[in-house]
Amino acid sequence: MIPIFFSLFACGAIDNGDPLIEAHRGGAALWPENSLAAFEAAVARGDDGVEFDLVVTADGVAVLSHDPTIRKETCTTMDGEPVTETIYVKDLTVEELQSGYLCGALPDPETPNAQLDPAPMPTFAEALDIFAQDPELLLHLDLKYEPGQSPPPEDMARAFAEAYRAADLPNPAYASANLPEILVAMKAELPELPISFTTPRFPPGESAAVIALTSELLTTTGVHDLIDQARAIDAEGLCMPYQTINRQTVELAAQAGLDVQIWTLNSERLLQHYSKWPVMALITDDPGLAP
Amino acid sequence: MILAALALSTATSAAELRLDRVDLLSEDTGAWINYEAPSLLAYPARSGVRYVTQVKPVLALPVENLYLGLSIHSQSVVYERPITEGSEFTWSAGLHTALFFPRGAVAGVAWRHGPLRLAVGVSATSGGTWARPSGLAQWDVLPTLGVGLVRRER
Repeated sequence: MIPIFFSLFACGAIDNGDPLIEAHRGGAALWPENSLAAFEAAVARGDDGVEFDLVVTADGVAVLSHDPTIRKETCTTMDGEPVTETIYVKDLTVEELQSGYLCGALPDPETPNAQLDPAPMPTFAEALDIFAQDPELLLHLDLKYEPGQSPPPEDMARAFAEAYRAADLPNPAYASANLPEILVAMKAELPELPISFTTPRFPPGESAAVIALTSELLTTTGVHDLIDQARAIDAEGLCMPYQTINRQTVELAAQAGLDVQIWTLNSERLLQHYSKWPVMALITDDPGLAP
Repeated sequence: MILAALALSTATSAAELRLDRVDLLSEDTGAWINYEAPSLLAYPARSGVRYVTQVKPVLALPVENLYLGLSIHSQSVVYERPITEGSEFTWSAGLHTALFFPRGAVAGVAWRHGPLRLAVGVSATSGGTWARPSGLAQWDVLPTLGVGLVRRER
C-alpha cells in the first residue's frame, strides 16, 4: 500500500496512470449508441478502444443492444412509427429484427445531442468487420445477460464466441458483465478472452437506493470483498462506475492483479482526474473530452 | 470492544459520560484524507458524502482517559493522556471498528489547545468485515490526520 497522504501535500506526486480511453457504446454522445455509424467514427478518430453491448436473438445471433428489448426511446418501426410494445430481442430472429425496426431513429434522452442515423440493429459480425480496420483498437464486449429476459447464459456465450472466433481479429479485447453466470459461461467458451466483473448491478425492479447503499458499504468497508468476488470467477478485471469507487479500491485491485475500468466519465474534469489513476481504461460517451 | 466499553460506561455513573469533542476529521482509519480528499474537486458529491460519514462525536467515558468515538464510517475506543502532567500534548492508542466489526488500531499524538485538537498518527486497518472475517489477514497502514473541536468545560 502506497499511502497517498503525502501526495496531498506534494502536488500529486503519485501520477502513475495512463489509461486507455474507450468510446462508451461506440461514443454515444456523438452517434446513436451501439451503431455501425458510431463504430466507423470511433475507428476514424483513432480511439484507443470501443465499448459495446451484446445480446442474442431467437436464432442465436449476437447483436448489439444495451437493453434486452428494442429501445422505445430510440427505435421505430420501418415505417417510422413508435415502438409501443415491449419487444424482447430474444423473441425475434435476426431477420425479423433487422427488417422490422430502425434504431438511432429518435433522439436518445440520455445523449440528446448525438447525431441521428436510423439503421437496423447491427450484428456483432458486422461490427467486427469495422473493428478489423484498426487492429490496435481495444474491444470491450459488454455482455447484457438479464435472467428471464435473455437466452440462457451458455447459449449467449456460444453466440458471442462464434462471431468473435469467426472474425479472428488480432485486436486486444475483453468482456465484462454484471452477473457471474454469463462471465463464467464466456470463460468456458473463450478462455483466452479476459473477463471483467462489473459492479454494482442495478437489476430492474429493485431499489436503487438499497443497491447504492450496499455498494457504498462494500467500497468503503469491504474492498477486499469486491476483489474476492472477481477472483471467485477468475476475472481479470473490475469494471466500476466512478460514483462508487475510491482510490483505495483501485490500488488494492491493482495489487491483486486486477485491471480496473471506470465508467462513464463524461466531463473533461472527471477524465483529467481519473487519467492519473492506475487503471486500465476510462469509459466515456465522448472520447474527445479526454486529455 | 465497543459493547464492552458501553457496558463499562453504564456500569458506572451514566452521568459521567460526556461529550469530549467532535472530530471534523477523524484519524481512526485515515481513509478519507488519504483516499477521498484528493478527489474532492473532481467529484465533490461523493467525497462530501464520505466526509460526513467520518465526522465523529467522541465521548469521554467514565474511566479516566478513555474515549469512545462513533461515526458511520468507524467506531473507536481510544486511550489518550497528556505526555506529561498538564501538557497540551497527548499521546493516544486505540482500536477501531467498522459497523462494530473489529478492524484495526490507531496510535498517535495530539495537541489540545483551547477548543482545538489536532492529531497525527498511524492507523492499521484490516480487510475484515462481518461478511468476510477472513479479511483480518489483510492490512493497510496509513498515516492519519485528526482535527477536532473540543467541548468547552463549564
